Amino acid sequence: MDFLWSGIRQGWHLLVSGDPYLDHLIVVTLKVTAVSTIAALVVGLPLGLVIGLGRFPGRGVARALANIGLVLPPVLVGLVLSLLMFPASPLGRFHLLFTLRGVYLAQSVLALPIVTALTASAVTSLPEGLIDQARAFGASRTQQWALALREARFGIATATIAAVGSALSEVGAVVLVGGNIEGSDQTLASAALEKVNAGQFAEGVAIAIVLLGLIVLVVAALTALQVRGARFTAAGRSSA
Amino acid sequence: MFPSFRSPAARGAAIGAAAVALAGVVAVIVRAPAVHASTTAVNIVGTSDVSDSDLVQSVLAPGFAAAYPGYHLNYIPKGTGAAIAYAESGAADGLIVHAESLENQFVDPGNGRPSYSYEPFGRAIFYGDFVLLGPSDDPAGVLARAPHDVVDAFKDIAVAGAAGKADFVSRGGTPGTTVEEHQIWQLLTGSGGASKVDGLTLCELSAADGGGYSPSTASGSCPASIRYPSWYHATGLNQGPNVEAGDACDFPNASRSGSNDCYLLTDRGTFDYLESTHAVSKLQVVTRDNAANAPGGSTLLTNYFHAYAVNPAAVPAHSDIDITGAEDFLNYLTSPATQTAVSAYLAGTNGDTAPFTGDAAPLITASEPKTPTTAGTEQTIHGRLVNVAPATPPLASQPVKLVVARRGTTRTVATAKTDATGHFTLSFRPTTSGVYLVVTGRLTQVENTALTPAFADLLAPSAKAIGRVVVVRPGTARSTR
Repeated sequence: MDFLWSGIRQGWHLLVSGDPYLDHLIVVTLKVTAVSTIAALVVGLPLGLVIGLGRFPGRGVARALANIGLVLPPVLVGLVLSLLMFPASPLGRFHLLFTLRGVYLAQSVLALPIVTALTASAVTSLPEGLIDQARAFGASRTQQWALALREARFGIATATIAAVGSALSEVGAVVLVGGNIEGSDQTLASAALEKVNAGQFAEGVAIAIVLLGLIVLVVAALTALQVRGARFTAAGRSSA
Repeated sequence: MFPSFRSPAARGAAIGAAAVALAGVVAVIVRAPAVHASTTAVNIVGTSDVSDSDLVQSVLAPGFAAAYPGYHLNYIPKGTGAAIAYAESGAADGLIVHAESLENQFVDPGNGRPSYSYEPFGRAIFYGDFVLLGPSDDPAGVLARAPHDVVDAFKDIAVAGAAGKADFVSRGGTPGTTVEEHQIWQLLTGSGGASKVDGLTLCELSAADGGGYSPSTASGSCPASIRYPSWYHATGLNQGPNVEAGDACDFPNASRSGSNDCYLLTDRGTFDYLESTHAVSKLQVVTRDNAANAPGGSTLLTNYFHAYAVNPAAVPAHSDIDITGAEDFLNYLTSPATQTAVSAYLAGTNGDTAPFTGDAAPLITASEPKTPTTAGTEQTIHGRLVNVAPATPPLASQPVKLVVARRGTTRTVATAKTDATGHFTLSFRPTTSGVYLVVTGRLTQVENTALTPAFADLLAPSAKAIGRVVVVRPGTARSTR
């Protein structure tokens, strides 16, 4: 319990004292979160739409693959990616191993199936006939998808929050690909792991508490926007 | 869901707060400069001993950044065996390890392949020592019977383990600590590699795995996946966590005996550090400083660390080794200032000596020159060159020089080679007043001929000022300078 208390005190002290080490960890964590979430949205939203709305052979298999990707073991992703990033390996020429760019890539790979599978699920559960109706009114393919995205925005916001949460808390792939280098590609979560490894339990608790605070802040903000989005259009539609 | 948000004002405030929070996040990301934006990373992969003991974080990383402002240190902690594998794949610029029986293969991979080391050998940087830890009630009775005989201690643990009274917690795999354990178990084998202890079966590890023996359920060569006896646990953890695993001691064999009975080998730096942070509470040192007359001798528990720059020509293409950065880091490590800082780190913790001692450069002792003296009068300096690393072979046949430093320039006045015990004699006829120094250049020293290929390392240049000599001209008044 001593470690827990002194960890909580240290965490608070680190935060209010503006410790540069902690600042750097927070910045790296936010960078990894932003880059991987945006990358996963850019690629995953269209993929999710195609899987959720498309009519093509193998659609069930694609959906199953996305769902499997949802629970991909980060350690496996980290191991395979780091082996691919070795100098003699296919990705070696890009010098990604033990760099922040490598961590961006690894976390994007982990976030992509989250966005894809949850988007596919959200657009699939739209009211039956909605898209058919739009098609009947002459909506183009792009317009149909835009409609699906708008109507499924609540679920898509959930997908975004899940991707953000994954990036904030991930350690397995980050450590294997990034090497957990202090001052370079160490995130809050992997720093907490390193502190525990070195027997600095209180420091580990301190960093974990800062991480928890960051998660609460970011996810609460996203949730508020999610709820606002839902209400805004509900109101807009009823007044139309 | 959020009833209070029903009022437009509250909702507006909430939305505003959320937007501000997200904008803040974006601002932090965009605005914050990368900490090392202007410096180049030197990637050093190496043993977790030097990072789990906080030496990297508190001494080496800040020191390197200060001494070489163009660079910063990226230290990637792994076990020694894994660190060597990463270095051989070209994933790092340099390497810090502590297992001579693996390092010799890094330097000479055999089959005509080029050395993975950029320099002819690794550089000696510092040494520490291994200690055997055990619980305070010490069910195997190690502290009473074998406080300075680690081979006997291992035997006691194996016997107590077979009786369900002790557990041994190894890191497993090929970190330097496990390789060291394998050398100790080997000293319990007789002719043909058979165990000399009743109830203990040992298998032999291949040279590629660092050699030595490991407890096993079967004798002969160890299979790729060793089946261990029930009292022996391979955790796969790094140095620090492995000590904590032994401190917690949650193993089936341990719970069967109903008490804490875990023993483990670790480096003293990690243990001192963990004890200073109160991360371990039950373990104590039961065996350390192996006695000279005990099996393995006084150096069995010495833990020699070496650093390497990775040879760009030996690793795969595209590796992009920063050889300048790696060499600068090695030069920083072996510089006198760093050596002093390493030797001072954690000194006095638990009333103990420092866990790491710099041994990059040899120690020179020499007699003082006679002064004042008449120009051209021969005099002789007697001295000795000693390797700081304990119980290493004497520094034989190594060149030493006597130089005189005057007004910022140095001039060699005598050279000699050390004899079989490292002693040297330098005769010279002083003609110039000035400070006289005995100096050595970079030395190559064979440290362990028992290994194939033999293990050697590089010692950094060393200098020892032996005194100021005032030379007076014959027949003139005594000079004041």
